[in-house]
Amino acid sequence: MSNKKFDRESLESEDTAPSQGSSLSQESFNDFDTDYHSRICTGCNCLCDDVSYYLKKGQMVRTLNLCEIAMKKLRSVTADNRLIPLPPDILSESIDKAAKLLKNNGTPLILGADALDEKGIQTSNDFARQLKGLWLPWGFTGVKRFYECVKLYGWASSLLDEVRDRAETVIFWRADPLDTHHRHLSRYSFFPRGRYTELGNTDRNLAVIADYEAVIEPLCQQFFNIEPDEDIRLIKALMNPAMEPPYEHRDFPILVNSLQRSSYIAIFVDPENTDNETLKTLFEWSESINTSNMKRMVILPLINAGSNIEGFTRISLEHHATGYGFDFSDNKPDNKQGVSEDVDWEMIADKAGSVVMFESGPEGAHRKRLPESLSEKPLIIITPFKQEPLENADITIPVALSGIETDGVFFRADGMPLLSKKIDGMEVNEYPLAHRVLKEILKIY
Amino acid sequence: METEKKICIQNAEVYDPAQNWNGEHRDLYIAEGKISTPFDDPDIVIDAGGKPAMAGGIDPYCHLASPGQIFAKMTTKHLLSPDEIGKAYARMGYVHAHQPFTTLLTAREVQRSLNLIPYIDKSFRVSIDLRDMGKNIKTKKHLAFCDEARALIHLTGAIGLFLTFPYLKHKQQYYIQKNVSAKKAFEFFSAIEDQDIFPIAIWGMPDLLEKEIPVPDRFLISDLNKSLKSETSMANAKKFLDAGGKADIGLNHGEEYLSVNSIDKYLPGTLSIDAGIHNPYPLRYETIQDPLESEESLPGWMLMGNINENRQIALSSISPPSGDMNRIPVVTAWLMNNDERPQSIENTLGEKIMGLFEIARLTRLEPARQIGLDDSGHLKTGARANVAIYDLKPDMGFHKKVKALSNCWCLIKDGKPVRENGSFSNSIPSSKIRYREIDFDPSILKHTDLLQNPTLRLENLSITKNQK
Repeated sequence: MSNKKFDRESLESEDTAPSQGSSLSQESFNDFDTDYHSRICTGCNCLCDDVSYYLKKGQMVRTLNLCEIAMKKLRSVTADNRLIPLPPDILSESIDKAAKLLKNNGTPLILGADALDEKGIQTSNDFARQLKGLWLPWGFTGVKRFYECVKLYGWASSLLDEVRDRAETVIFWRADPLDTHHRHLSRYSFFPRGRYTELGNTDRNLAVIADYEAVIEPLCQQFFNIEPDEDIRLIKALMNPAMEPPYEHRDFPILVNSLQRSSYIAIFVDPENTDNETLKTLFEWSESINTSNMKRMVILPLINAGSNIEGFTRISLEHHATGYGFDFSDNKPDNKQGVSEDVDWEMIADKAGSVVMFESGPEGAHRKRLPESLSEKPLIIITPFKQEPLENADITIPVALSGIETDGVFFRADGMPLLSKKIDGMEVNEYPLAHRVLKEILKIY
Repeated sequence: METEKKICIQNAEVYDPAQNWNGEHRDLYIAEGKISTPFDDPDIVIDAGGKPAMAGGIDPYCHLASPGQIFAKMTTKHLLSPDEIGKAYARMGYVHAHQPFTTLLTAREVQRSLNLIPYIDKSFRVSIDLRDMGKNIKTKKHLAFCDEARALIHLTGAIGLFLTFPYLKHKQQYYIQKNVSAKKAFEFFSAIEDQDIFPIAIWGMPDLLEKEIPVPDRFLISDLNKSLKSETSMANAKKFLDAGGKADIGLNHGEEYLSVNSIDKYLPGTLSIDAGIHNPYPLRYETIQDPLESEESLPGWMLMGNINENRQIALSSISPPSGDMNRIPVVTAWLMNNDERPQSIENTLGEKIMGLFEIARLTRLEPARQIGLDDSGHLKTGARANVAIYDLKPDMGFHKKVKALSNCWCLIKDGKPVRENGSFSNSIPSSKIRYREIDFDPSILKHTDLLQNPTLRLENLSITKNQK
């Protein structure tokens, strides 16, 4: 990819022809034959829509506004070690094998459909229903924890635009956007100018609670490097700063001051990195602030899961009134619908007889978080990414990457559905679509 | 294809206020999806056997897909799925439901959710954001405001404009100079000459009718019941309607429902979403049950008991569809039948009994007019062939009436039979989102604040339309 930067002299030069749809009137870079602008990136659920692609002879020669996460996904499309599409007869054979594997191994776990586009998620739900399996997202434990709190406490939430416009104090609680959602700070939560935060980050106070040296640390005004079991004490101290004994931390008084001065507070929490009690206490805090009617505090999940986790949540709600998937199997305890309240990955591993997994990123990061016992089950991986380390997969079916090789609808973190279009003209192999693969497996099953 | 089949409905007792048909026994002819002039060679003959027939029902206000509403499924019981909603409406003989509003930013979310609902057509209005468009009001730039309004309608695929609050009031003191009073706003709207942007729907909020609304015929009050909080507001409501104002009203039937409003009070346990409407109050989703005798319930019934019959008022269901979705049938049966009305309703309606002609006006003609569906809500030649037939008899008691109104005997949508003999046919009719074709000058977008604030670019904000 070209590393040419914009040259101010070139920008002002009359010789440079403006490219169609470009947001700049002149560019120094003109070594391309096709360009696309205002494209939606599906690297995470920020769904940045200001992405530009420049192609020359079918090769990507430049991009604008892609973060590292998205760049890795894009590079994986043309990576040398990416699996080539299966020839039709081999694909057919793999689908056949997959159907048999699922049939012969009890309750299947359909995992990670939050990596797929809307069609893929819908199809995976039908797939799980027909196979009487478990249908769960990558971020299952965190998503479940979060929405269980919503059921208990209600929920004060917000569009990302409203956070950008109003939030004067922004807190990342055990979530690091610079790790998982790289442009979150620049598009929504810290740097951008909003209607009532016209000076951007100068109008905002950024606080982070983490137990390691988070990437975000240099940016924030307050950083609480504390262990997770200290979270509740901190929250209670923030709810009641005058409590005895006082909370001792160098950043505590400043954060308290910031919260007192703020009329709108946004907390982004990664529910996978908090426990149930901490999350409940955060919701209690939000409830107490909102009930005062003087301020508003919104709590928003920032989940490290598939880039379409919000789409998964909404589709799950549409079908099942839960945001975290469903258990279609017959052998549920107490004959309950949905997923039992106290279920965790170990219990899921016990129940699942086989796994159909949708890979969410080139490095298989989510898969590495699964318990060993789950990884040992008969495994079908449906992935647009490179193969390794997939040596323990029984069947691997390479598919197209939505948003680059095929159109797909993804949902932004606040629920905005956006169509991420295929990059036409890019020289790539023809891969089958994930939802079609599932339908073919179902036909044979 | 059945849409192309010619249908003759024989011997129906037809109620169509648009043509002053008040129970006349007629045959209805349908060809190419539209009400037709008579022909001799029908492919399908439906013998209505004297049953009452009217245009397909239209619900002018139902929170089908408000921003963030999907999450209410976690906090509220019995919210219906999209499939269930569509079927429930069709079962009642309805062919269209209107989502009150969306915002520029949430139009895509709302459109997607609406598209999931089968059997019925849908529509929505787009909210005017006074944070952006209020500047034009303060500087009295009518043309600029209208340009932006047209752009808003066009970009979002909406059918019209919605004003959640007719004023703008910032909580922050240092933005006070940007506030817009209701008085100023109404004066501004009164002076606009561009008729295409009217009527503007205004959300029925408690203090809306404490003062008279000038130029009533330019406005429509959505969810009028919520504005009837005092004698003053009741009197102003009547004046408003008498002067040509329009309104939809959801009459309470005493059962639990999910309320959607926007007030400056947070309630624990509720869903509260900052959805981008211009006042700093979030959308609040809350399950409530107002007894029929309550201050929340009675005023609407009182108004129905006291207004003239030709006022432009339409009956709506209001709340997100839940449970057995029987609000409209129950309310309709009470309006038609004074035998088994609860005492509190009887006290407000008095002797008033509405016939099917009036019911057809409340639930078909007026909603169609309010939404702007010229080809619906009536059975004139050329209208869309949406016909509902009910197995209703004049001497039916309340419960049988409710059952008959909840389960229409026959429904034809766009010339295709959806229900026959009280059951669903095998085919599911096409359903679409209706939008308004409106001219607008794209070049104005460069000079407007309308698109400066959203985090999304214009190309990704504007939505596709699939009407007609």
